[in-house]
Amino acid sequence: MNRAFSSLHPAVSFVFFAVMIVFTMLFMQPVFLGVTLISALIFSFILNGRRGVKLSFLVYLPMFLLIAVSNPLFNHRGRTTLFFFMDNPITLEAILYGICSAASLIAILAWFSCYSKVITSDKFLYLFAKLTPAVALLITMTIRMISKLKYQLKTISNAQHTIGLDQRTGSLSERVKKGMRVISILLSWSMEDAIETADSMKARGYGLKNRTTFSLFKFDTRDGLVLGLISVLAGICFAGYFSGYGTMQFYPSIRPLNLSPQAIVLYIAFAVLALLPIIIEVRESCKWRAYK
Amino acid sequence: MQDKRISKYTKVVRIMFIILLPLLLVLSTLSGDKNYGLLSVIFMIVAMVPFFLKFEKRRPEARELVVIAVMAALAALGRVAFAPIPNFKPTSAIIIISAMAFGPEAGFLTGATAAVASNLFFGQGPWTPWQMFCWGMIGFVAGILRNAGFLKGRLSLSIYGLVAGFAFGWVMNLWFIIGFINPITWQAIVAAYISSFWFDFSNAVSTLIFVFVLAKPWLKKLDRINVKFGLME
Repeated sequence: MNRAFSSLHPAVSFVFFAVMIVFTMLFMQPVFLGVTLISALIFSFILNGRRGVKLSFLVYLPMFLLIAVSNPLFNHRGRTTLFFFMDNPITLEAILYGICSAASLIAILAWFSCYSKVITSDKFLYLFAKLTPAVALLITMTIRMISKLKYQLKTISNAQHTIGLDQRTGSLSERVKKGMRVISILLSWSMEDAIETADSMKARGYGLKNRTTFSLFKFDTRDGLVLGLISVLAGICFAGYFSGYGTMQFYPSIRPLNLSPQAIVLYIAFAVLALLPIIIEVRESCKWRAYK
Repeated sequence: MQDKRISKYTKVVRIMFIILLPLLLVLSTLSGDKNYGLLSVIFMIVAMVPFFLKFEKRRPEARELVVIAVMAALAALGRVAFAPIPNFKPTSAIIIISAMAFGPEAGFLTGATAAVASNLFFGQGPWTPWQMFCWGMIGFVAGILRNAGFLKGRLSLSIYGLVAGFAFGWVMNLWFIIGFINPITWQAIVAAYISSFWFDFSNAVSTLIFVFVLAKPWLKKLDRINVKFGLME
């Protein structure tokens, strides 16, 4: 399905994700982390639908708990001791820090899952083909090769099955032997196949000078506007980070939340930046409905 | 024209190394929030630039590209196939084999690409550059040792696999400590390494087993393909 945010120029969406991931790693402060976590999760629900919800409960929640628990277990700094666990003091400060770093991790994961939905491999190749043509092609080819290898693997094991060498039957040593046979066939087949691909690429002029590439991406006014907005908001947030608003003191005791006017302006700027793709999506679907 | 552009590139990278890295260190110290996670990721990326750039400058043939892509895809697929058993995976072993067959540069690229590609299934994140670097280095060092005449026998290869498996886990622990533990104390570091021991052990043993089992037949096949198609001459 073609989404409004995905239809932006790849450079714009790439810059957006880069900025958001960098800020999520830089900020260690509950308000910023909450904003980035919530908007990343909402955006991933919009992009992934029901799968997004499932993902967040099966993968994100256990990971969140693991990271949140590990910091107070390894660190015992902080003034407010809550209880003792195997003779080690568990402090409120360490727990809160653990929760914040877990939130930061989950937000990064969610942003990356949105990234892989929006920046598809053709966009990736378009973005990096000018900068590093060979490496970008190598990565794209590897990703394509994985699904091809899976298909070849299935074909091989079906063929082995018909000649009575199904690797799912027999004793353990027999199974390992048959499995090795399948993998060894896979290696020869995929290698010879790949070299044929390479020769075909060469025959069609791969690596020659003056070859042009074709792409459908055009940088229009809307892309310019969104990119401008992202840069202004990111600039404000960077300025805020360097004047010390992006972090909070956790040890030895937690300082209360900064609620000065400047801090609130920063929170709003960051919220607008983080919610930008969601705003674009909602606006587009409202328009769509109005025209219908 | 193409070559000129790339040599300009090299200059930019040199400047990056000389100015950017110290500057980043100074900035991070001045801002004083001890946020080393992002800094470490940037350092990892910058540390990999020369490898990629050298590959880029050489204008690789299509045949080299596809061979590395197949090896990286096999390594990534192995990681996906063995995902149910924690840290038991043939990825490092396949990278080592690729380096033994095609040399240090191919080894590095196989490792780095396998990390990116397999993380499509496991989730990309700030650890992707770390994994790219670690697996890339496993391949690169294996290739260099091969060129120096080591790692000839099955035994020495298996020992290298064991060491590489442990080293991978230990370096990746650093990422966990830098990224998620604050303040970083000796006790925290020791605790993190002790609690990860069995994962590292499983990773090392699996690499050893896969190198031991796969190295001989696969290297024979890859050498045959090398000879048959005249690759990497």
